[in-house]
Amino acid sequence: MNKTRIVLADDHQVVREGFRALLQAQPDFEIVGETGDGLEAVRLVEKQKPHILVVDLMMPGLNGLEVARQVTQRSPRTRIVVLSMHANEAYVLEALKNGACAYVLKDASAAELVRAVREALAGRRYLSPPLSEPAIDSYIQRARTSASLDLHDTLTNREREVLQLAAEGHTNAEIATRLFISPRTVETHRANVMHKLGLRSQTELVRYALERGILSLEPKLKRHNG
Amino acid sequence: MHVRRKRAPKPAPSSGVSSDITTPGRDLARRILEAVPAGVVQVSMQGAICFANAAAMDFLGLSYDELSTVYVSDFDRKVICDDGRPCAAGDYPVSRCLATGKPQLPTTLGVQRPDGNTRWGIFSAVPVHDDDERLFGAVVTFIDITERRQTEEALREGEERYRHLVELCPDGILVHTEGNVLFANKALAEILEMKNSSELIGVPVMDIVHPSFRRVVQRRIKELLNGAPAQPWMEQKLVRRNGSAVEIEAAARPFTFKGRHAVQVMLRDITDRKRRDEERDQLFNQVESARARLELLSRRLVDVQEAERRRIARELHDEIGQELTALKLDLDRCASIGRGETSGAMREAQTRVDHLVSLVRQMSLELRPTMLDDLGLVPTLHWHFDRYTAVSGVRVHFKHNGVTDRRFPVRIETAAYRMIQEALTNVVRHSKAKEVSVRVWASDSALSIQVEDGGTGFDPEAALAARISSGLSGMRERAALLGGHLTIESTPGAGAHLTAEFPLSHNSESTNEQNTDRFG
Repeated sequence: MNKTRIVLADDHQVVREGFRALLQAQPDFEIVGETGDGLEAVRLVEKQKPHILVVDLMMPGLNGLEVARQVTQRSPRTRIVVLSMHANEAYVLEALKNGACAYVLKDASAAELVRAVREALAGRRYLSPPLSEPAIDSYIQRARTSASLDLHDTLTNREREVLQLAAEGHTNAEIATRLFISPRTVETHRANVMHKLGLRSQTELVRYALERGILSLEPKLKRHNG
Repeated sequence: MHVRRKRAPKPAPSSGVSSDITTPGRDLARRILEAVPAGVVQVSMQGAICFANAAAMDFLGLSYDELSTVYVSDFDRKVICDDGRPCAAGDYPVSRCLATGKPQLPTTLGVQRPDGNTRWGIFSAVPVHDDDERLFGAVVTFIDITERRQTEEALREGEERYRHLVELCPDGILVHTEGNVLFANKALAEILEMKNSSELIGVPVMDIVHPSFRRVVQRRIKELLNGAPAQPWMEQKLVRRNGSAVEIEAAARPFTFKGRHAVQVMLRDITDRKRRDEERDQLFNQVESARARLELLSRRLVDVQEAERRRIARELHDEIGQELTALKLDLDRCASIGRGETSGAMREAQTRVDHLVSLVRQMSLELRPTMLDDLGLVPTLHWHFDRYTAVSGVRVHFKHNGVTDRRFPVRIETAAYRMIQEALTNVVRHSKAKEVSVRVWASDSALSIQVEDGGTGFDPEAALAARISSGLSGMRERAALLGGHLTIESTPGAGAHLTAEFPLSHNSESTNEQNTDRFG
């Protein structure tokens, strides 16, 4: 039977020796190369075309994520098992994006690494508990929803008041009187509003207000400030 | 004036209406005499006043009756000379005329009147002869110059005062015409280190102007002579006789002096002021450079602190963490081959190592999340908010725009992260809010962060002024060090908006991605 050929990359020698002992204890596993350097790891994989690359996330020369990305391109059949200290979805997601198949926490039990290698070999994904696919999915979901900031939300209450009055065509002096603040302060707020919303002129400001429904084209009924 | 009584009765003096002048010609002469504004007095050989016209009576302050009893000698001690000294009766033009029989040249005299006032007149005396060419008496004529004299005196006094003023004036004053000094005061002499201002009279004015200013001064003078109303203050230099220069400022106006076009110049020694200005500039520069050094120091402090945290975090993580991992692997192997009690002890040791590993990782992350270097701002913030909510119970609504999969300069990512961290800590400490919104957005030119809470709020100015919250001023400084700014909008009871903006310059700093040393 063909042994599973493994390249091991971890910059910490004591840890690497520990992992090697662990993996070599498996009769069907064979370590065909090991290194403590990221660039060297990529070269080794290219040369050896192993079944499995076990790589630490933190590596000098080239970081583990980058190693994973390059290996995916240069040796697509090599499955990648990432070792990491970070029990964090963001890291996992980054590792998976870069082509990792398994993500194993370094403080997981020894048996887990072996299991992760076997899962990867079988073409399945493996994540050390408490990491899980649903957790990753919910993280992705959360990241997606958070990436939807409406710049209008960044306006402070004062800035909203100034925006509306400015859109209605009031001068800074008039706005100042209405809001009981100094014309200079109005000037600052107005500039902040334009800056935040990326508006460059009074026309753009009015257009923005119309699009937003802050200003209505309907004939104005008796309307109060704000 | 008390006119002494006469020693002997004398004939009644003639008057304007004297009856013995009967001829029409004489009458006319009398009338003319009465009408002329000059005083005319006829005196007999004995000095008795025989006739006086109205102007004379008015001048002397004596009535016709009084005059009729007066001799010239009665005016002794009542007459003063032009220079104010008493004039002896024998020196009066009339006395001399009577003594010599010759006309006397006009002489200025002052006469004290009975009312105490002094009248000034120019007196002349001509002899009068009878038909036989014998000296018969004299006629005194005089013009009243009291008013003119008073005007002259006032003028002289005014001039005196002016001269006094000019001499006392702490600024130098100079009048020059046709290129030469006409007048200079003491202050100017002092500026030029001369003993006496008279040394300056007649000196070519350009001789005291420093060569480097002669052209401009010449132009200014020309403009004045061509009708410019004045030349404003201008800093220039004079040159002393020993060749040393003196800093002054001068202003000038055109001036008419004895009918000639002249220029009056005011000059002020500004050596002290210049020195003070220089000292002030020097002090200002010192303060400015101290401030710059301080700013550099602050920035370096922030950098060093962050670098140190990063170093310790990595040490903990890489060195101690890895050692622990190795230890754990050893224990795992031992546990798998151990039996009974040994195995139990091994499991306990394993638990302990697990705990240690997680402790070390926590400490490392508290110091500086490696994630910030590895993955950037957004993932690090997600991670931080999870922990924050777990510890504080405050929910974080995080929204961002334009920052996904984008990296920013190390300093800016760090500052943004630290400021949000600080602001969230403040929310827990002070605001009592249960929810907080964090917003991060970036354009091509700036990265902005905002933390909004609906808590108790505060007066930002008061908080900054009172230095209650060193956190706030620290944040402001952090932003300022990166060329950005922090604005805080809050009203007590209505929560707070904290917004910071960091400008992104396109060529300057390395981004975190290029910062490969973190893997070393």
